[in-house]
Amino acid sequence: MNKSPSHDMTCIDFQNQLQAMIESRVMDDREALASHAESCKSCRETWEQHAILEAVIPAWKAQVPQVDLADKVMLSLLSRTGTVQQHAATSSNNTARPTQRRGSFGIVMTAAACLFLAAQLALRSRDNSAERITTSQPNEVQQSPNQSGDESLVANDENQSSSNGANNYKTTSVQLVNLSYNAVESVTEIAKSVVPGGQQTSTEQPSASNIGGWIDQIEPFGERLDRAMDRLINTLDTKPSNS
Amino acid sequence: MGRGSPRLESFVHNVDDVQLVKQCLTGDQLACRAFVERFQGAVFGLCLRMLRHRQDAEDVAQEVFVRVFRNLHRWDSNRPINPWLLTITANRCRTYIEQRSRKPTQSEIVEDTEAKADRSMSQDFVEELQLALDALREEYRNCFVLFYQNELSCAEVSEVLGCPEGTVKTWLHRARREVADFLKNRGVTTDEQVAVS
Repeated sequence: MNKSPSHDMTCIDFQNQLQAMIESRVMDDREALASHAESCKSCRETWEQHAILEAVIPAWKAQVPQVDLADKVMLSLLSRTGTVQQHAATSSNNTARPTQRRGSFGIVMTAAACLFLAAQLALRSRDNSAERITTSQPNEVQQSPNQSGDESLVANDENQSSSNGANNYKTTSVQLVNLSYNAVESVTEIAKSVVPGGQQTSTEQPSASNIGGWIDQIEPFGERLDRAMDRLINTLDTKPSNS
Repeated sequence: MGRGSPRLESFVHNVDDVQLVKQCLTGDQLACRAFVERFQGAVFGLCLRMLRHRQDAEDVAQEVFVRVFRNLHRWDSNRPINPWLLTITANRCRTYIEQRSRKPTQSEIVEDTEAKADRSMSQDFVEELQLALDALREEYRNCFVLFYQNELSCAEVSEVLGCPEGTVKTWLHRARREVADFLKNRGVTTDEQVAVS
């Protein structure tokens, strides 16, 4: 470890002070460091490296060309949001957006879950009614000739009640499906009023990317659901009577 | 648009960052323009150093300002705006570099050679320094650029790069040493440079 005779600076002091000088950008100890570097061979190399950088960096920094982005940025803001005022309003409302989108997504998912449940219920009730009808049919057809009149009456009553039960199931299923259908329609209406680009609920003009946003994307899905619903209702209407 | 108007000049030079941002949030176009004019040098400079392509740098800088205006309400006014702004810039540049690297035709990396004709000795050294930076690891280069080009402190650089301040100091030290070695090997250790010391 060298000590500069004039400043009593060790090499460690030199390294630390140089590092501090670089980080703080304050050149207070420059003379002392230069003096130590002159008398210390190992520190001279570090000092020369520093000197090269100090000489080149200012010119390098100044080399960044002038640019005027103001017009482009303002134009970009205006084209995206209509006016800067609207943009500012949009910015301040931005925090609510993700929640709103999550909410809309939740509504759609809930509607889908309702549909699924309704369809499951409808199918199950249809299967049950079909089961009842098929189990009641052999009694009807294979009524034994030696059956007494009372027994046949009882059997007929049973058949009648099974048939009524099936009809009740069918009616209930159709009502349930209609109910869920109406529910989905209501939910879609709500979704349209909530989702930007569906129906406007605020003074904010939807941007080009928002117009016909993901409401448009779920439109075909909705149509497919409608068709599926119609088919389900038709099936429920026709199947029990055929059987 | 009111360019060069006294009010714009006042915004650019006299209004502090917090007031300027508040004005921007009200939708004041002049304030927004003043905001861009105040920070475009820092944003564009970082973009240019990171992307090494003027047109790309302009495009990304423009995009950065649009994003900044969209998120201006999120800026914590108790903290300086420069690191926040440059964090967004650095992130956008990194994303852009990633996208650019995926493109089959790599966009041309060009030097800004406006005054190539009257190239001086110092300009040669500047180009050598840029070459040295290009040869650095990305972390070292970003650290060097943020510290010297954008004049951020080590703490602010650590905030922008999302790493500890000690790491930034190490990176800066290594970047300086590698750049200096590169320059020395390329013959930049002239008497002129040594004399500066």
